[in-house]
Amino acid sequence: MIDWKKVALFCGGALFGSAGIRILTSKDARKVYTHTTAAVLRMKDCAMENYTRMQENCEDILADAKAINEERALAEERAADATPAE
Amino acid sequence: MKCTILHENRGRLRVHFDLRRMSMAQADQMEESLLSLPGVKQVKVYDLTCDAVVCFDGDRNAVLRALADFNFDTEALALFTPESSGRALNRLYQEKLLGLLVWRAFKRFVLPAPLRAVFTAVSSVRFIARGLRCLFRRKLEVEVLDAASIGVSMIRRDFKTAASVMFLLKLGELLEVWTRKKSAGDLARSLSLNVDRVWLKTEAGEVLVPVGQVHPGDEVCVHSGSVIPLDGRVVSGEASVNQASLTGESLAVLKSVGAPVYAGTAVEEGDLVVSVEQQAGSGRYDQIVAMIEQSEKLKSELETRALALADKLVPYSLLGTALTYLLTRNVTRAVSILMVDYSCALKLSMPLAVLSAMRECGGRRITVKGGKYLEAVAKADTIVFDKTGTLTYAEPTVAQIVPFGDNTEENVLRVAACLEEHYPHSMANAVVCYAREQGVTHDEMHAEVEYVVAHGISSRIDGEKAVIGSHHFIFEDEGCVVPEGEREKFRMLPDEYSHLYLAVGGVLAGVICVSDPLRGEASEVLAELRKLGIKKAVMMTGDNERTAAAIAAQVGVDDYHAEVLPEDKARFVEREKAEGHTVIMIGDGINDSPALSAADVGIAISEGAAIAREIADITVGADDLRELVTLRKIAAGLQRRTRGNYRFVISFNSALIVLGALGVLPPTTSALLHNLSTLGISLKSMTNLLK
Repeated sequence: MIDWKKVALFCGGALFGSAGIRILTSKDARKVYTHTTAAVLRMKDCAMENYTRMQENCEDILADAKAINEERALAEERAADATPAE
Repeated sequence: MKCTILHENRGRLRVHFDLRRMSMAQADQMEESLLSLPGVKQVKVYDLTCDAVVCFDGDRNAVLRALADFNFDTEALALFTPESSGRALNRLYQEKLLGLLVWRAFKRFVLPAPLRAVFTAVSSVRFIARGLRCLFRRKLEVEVLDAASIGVSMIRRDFKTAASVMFLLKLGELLEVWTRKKSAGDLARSLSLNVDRVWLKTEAGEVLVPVGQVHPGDEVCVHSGSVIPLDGRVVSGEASVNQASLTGESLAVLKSVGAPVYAGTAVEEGDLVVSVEQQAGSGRYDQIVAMIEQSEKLKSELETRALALADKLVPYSLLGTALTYLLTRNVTRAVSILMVDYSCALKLSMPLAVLSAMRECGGRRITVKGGKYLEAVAKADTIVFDKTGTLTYAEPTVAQIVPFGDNTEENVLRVAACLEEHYPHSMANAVVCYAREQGVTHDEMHAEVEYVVAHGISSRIDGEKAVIGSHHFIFEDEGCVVPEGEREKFRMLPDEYSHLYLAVGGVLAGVICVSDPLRGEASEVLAELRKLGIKKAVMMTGDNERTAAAIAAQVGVDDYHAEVLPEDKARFVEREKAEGHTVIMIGDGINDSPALSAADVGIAISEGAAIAREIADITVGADDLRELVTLRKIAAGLQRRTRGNYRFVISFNSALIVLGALGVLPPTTSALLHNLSTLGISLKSMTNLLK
């Protein structure tokens, strides 16, 4: 009989048109938006910081790995030099 | 500054500074000052975490002490602009990239399906609009293809494919813009005015001051071969100015009183007094960036051909799609073909390869002004070398002074230094340095100085005409004579040195013997270049025949020409070009500029005259001629990579098309493979060419 869904949609639309917009653009709502945006920006900074830290750690690992390989190569060279001399 | 060591290794130190936060300008300043320490090879300062990484050779304690003693110079900080390093740009694009990735992850894994569909639909509008605009201009380019593939996916309600295609396209766009801006920025920074001191005209005469101390309204003197440091207007004097760095035209423009002159342009011949209108600032940098971004002439031939072909293939892609649909009546198969196109991979990877090669060269202190010059270096089969400063160290030294007539050695040296002071030729520098070492001072005792290119300098001292220069200039042009009874002395002048003749009042007053040692690596560099494909090496010099012959024999060039004038050098280069050779010209002085412009590629040794650096297409850090070999290897590598990219893109995408037409690959997979391969090849193109 009465399509309640359609009625609900109509009432919702009417409410939105009259009071909803006023609420969404009110000063309080704006405060909420600004604080949320500030929080999001903080999250972005935090993410960038973590990314930088991760980058630094990876570079440390790379540098250490290269040093290990170099030492190995040096040790092998020294061993190779020692044996022909004998 | 208080800091803690986070990680240590032999030769590498990572420290954390006790700061709440660091601005980008502070990080740049710290990097600069740490790099200037002896033994420090590489410094990276991370402003977000307030960390610094120092790679060094040598004394660890010295580095630690420097770190502890470091303090920010707040005054200097105010002078930092965002363009002075690439940090701000990189940060911006890193954040954009992060945003794109996070947003994509969010949409894919968090958003419910209906909302995702809405977002996809909204984003697709932009791409479809671009495609339609392209169609309205009656062009069938890659935008049409992208729009078609996205549009068709949307119509088939295949939101996943549409979203992934759009994501990969946006990612590719972002990477391309970032690399382009970064390369342009790095290039502009290395090309930016490296003049830091200028001749300021005061009541006391000309005074050398740092460029930052010059204010609008001050007058600055610019002589032959020097670069105009700041924008302004000519107040007196007349000169031919090469504005190639600004406008690209290689012919010099005559500037006289009242004419505007621009920072970064070079005075070829003449003298100017310029009234400064704009103080030193970032204007020059912006000019260069604009020039780089707009310069179509800088694209290499291979690149332009590849891009033109890419555009031409678009209609065939569309045709293929239509044909497949008609033949198989299978929409899925037809759409698979639509997802694949050649142009976006080519358009993305080619410029990236070129820009990355230019960046790699920059990292080795070689500044390349365009992809087309790298191509010329790879194709070249003839090299023309200048002698002084190129094959020899740019530091000739005075070996001996032989006075004639009544003059003493000191007198000859004083007059010579006085005349040679203003000009950027390496021989002139040798004389001036020697005078300084010997403690011979000279007040400005001469009147106007006239520099005759490649010949010498003439002026008047105490009413008499004083000239200094080459044999040809002094004896043939000016007609000076050797004093009576000294002909024997003249004949006995040592042969192995270059001679600088000084004559006052028409009579030879003295000869300065300058020794110009050959660079140690010159002959081995020539051998290497021959191995890499150079067929003919020629040396051209304005110096005398004997010295030239000796040097030529030592270095191993195929041919040499001595006592050459600048126009002759240029004419030789043009003759070689007419015979079909690709010519590289390497020089460092004013008398090389015509030849540098005439050659296919002009390379300037960066320690040389500013004008050579401005006109040249490539500048090489002067420490080592071996950088030429590196340059050639990078250029050859770039050509190989460009051709390789071309082959890969065509073959891979053709395979995808065939598989799609046969129904083996569904559209989602072919789109994914196509876009991933595009991204992959673009990223690969950005890697270094040499180890």
